[in-house]
Amino acid sequence: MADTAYAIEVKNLKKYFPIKGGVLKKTIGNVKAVDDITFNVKRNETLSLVGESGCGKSTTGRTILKLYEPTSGEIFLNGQKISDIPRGKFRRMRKDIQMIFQDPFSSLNPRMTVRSLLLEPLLTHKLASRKEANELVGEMIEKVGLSKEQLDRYPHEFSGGQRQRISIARALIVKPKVVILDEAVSALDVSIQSQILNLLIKLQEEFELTYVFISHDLNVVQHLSDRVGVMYLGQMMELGETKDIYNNPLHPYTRALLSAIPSLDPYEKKERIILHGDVPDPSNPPSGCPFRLRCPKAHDRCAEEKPRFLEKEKNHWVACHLFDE
Amino acid sequence: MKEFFQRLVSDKVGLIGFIGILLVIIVAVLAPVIAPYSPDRMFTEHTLEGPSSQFLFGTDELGRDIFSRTVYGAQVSLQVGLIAVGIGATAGLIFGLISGYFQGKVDQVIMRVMDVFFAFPDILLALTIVAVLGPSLTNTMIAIGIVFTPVFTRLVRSAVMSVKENEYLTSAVAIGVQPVKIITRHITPNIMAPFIVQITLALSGAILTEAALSFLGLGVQPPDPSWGVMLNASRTYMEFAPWTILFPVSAIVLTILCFNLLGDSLRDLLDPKLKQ
Amino acid sequence: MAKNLTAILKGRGTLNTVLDIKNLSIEVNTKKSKYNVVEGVNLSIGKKMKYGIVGESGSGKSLTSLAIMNLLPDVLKVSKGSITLNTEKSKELTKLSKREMQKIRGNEISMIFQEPMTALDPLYTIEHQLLEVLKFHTNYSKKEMRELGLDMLNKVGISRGKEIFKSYPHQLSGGMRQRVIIAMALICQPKLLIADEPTTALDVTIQAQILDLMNDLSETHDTSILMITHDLGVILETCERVAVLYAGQVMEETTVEQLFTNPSHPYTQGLLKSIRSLGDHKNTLYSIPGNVPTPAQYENMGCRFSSRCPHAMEICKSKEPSMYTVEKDHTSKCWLHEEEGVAYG
Repeated sequence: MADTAYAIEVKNLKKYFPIKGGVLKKTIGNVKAVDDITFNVKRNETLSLVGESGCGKSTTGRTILKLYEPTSGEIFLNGQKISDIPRGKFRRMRKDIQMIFQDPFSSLNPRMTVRSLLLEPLLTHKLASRKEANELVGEMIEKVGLSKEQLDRYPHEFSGGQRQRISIARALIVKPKVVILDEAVSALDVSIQSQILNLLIKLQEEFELTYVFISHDLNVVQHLSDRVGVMYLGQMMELGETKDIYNNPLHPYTRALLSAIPSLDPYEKKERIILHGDVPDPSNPPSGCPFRLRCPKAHDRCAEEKPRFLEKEKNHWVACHLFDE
Repeated sequence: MKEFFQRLVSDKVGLIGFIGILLVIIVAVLAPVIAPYSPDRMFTEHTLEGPSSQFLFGTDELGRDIFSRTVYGAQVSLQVGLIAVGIGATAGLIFGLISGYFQGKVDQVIMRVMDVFFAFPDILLALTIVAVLGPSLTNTMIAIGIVFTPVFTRLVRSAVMSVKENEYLTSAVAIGVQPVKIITRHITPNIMAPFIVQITLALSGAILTEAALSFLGLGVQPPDPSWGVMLNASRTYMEFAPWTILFPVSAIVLTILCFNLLGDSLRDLLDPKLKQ
Repeated sequence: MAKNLTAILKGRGTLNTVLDIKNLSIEVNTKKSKYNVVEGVNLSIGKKMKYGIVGESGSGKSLTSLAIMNLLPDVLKVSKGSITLNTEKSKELTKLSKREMQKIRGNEISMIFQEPMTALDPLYTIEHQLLEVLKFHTNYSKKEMRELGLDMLNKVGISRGKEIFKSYPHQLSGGMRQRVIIAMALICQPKLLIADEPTTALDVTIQAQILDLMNDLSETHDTSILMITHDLGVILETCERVAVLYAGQVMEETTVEQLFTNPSHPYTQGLLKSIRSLGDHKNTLYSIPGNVPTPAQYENMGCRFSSRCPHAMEICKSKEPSMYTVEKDHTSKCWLHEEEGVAYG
């Protein structure tokens, strides 16, 4: 049994996707989507995973949900080791951990009414009789800011923001403990995005939820998270409390990432670190530190040795040779 | 559903097909009322007579009324079409769902078997099966059903695979929905559009195949009034009694045309991309 | 006031603007329905100016750019207004034939799109696609074209030009592809570059590279840029002037500095307020209530923002406001400005 102060613990998690090739479809390599990451999420906190596309943040989320089988490593949900539970058996535990997706247009079955979309999770887990379930559905739809009258409509009759509200209701109706939000507000317009963020924060308090918020939008992440993990090429580069990450970023990558956010103040002249080149191919990552090819501070040691993930300040972890002397 | 019919009505070509098929169905159902004579009744003194007020489409070599036989022939054609396509579509749906949902080894096995069936021309395969089972109405339907299974399997499989790309399937898995319910509730309804179109087109194919098999003497057996049987019988006389071939051929052509018109228009109507 | 504005625009238009859009309306015309999706858009883009159009999905920002390029889909057409391109001589783009327009596209006006994955043809090499533009618009020899192409790739920050020439689009990363697309767009030295969400599909560090590049290139190439985006941050990074589009209409038009320091329209104010409140950790975000109206609802709704506006008055719901000049170089379409004084509040 692991320490149950944590809603989620991830230890040395790896997820490799094999690359098949040749006539015989043999595995000729691996895309190291997630390569040895360790972190945990406390109860009722919001941990955000940020990074650019291909950094492995989504894969991490989906592996925690057991939508993918981990290649190696351990995952604990509320102290229970779930990484070695077979997927078929895990199905019944899914009510404790739910997911909200990015695309509000493809994440709802177009041929089901809102009512049946919301009833399905309740009836699947046999959490209520049909009559009770109908009442719960009515309550839930109002909690996310829609009305009971809209229950018998189909998803295409709603706007993007409203659909995302339906997705939220569908995920929360089974009273999960953990919710993984995979770019949950990225597809929404600015004015709708803030409505949904407010809703998510309100519901987190009401239902005492633990959020794992996966996003590339650093402004949104700053607003929502208690702690932030910065990922690059499948590895965790920096992990710490939100204020430490934003006010005192240690890793050169985090610094570049934060400096790249377009400013909203015409008089603020911030020093921008322009990174050169692109994220390397995850099937063929560079030796040593994955960031060294684009890092303005790279030195010889970075190519030779993979930096250790160390707690440099209290609750502030970083994987960089600059901080490991 | 109401909206669907409104759109069907606004599409003239599809509507023509739909009305045509409706007529064929009415004729088949009301055959005993519409046909003036029994299809087997022989007017021995009226063999091979041209169309007249007594015999609307003329008579054949045994003095049977071609109009009555054509009307009853609609029954046979529809029966064969519906049952044969029913067999093929059901089998194809099951194999396709399994293949597309589970993929991996099961998929490999199912698809390779289907490939073998696909390697034969439809009619040759149907002929072989009938030859093995023995010629009869039932065996014709089974044979055509088997012939159509691979088409449906492939169609369903690829539709399932494209539906699986949608996030609502991942969402259903993440919620913990049972695999069986994922297939019945989330996948099947979303592949119905191409499936229904294929059924319509397969119906016309089945009717044609039945006619061909019967024409070759391996399908429906005389004296049952199938359009194919009538064609077969009229071969010898068509030079001097063209009505014996003209009417059954017209019946086949028009029925198939109607199914194809409806199928094409359904394809457009049911395509959500073209909805706007 | 409104008259005054037209006069100003007219004066500007003839002198040194590259593109003038006057009273542009775009209409959807299907069997079932007929309504304007873009209505009464006025804007003029000066030489070497970087002009931004910002708006949410459905605001009509992309349609406006497609109308300039004469690339509107079949169900849509320009129903009113004019689009004038002032290069060597003035041309009215809405009146040009297909052939005449083809000569302008890629040569005098270029466009780059959001999706760097699909904007290049997967079957041809980068060299082929880059030089095709030159082949179509110029008479250079093969050797000259290659030199120009390599030079252009160099300018967009691709140093290994010869290697990239031989590659196919799928072999390049998203950022690289967007560079190639920018190179293609600029190789004929267009007077105007329309960039429709050029960085939306890119990661933030790559976005920073590309925006930097576009800023540099507009300086060195004498090219005006029309930047179309949903991201006010991108506007501030790159543009000098900006028009805020909402539900098919320009709500506010001014310099970028004024927009950020003194936004006048309640919609702009709401947008900025909601983005800026993201900085306050976990406090309730300011958000504009409700949803964007659909084009079918536009008719008889007075001001199109009235249903979501915190300042909405009786008149807002029944009558559409006109564009008021609230200060020098700053117009806003809101009834609040009718009485002087409120406008500067």
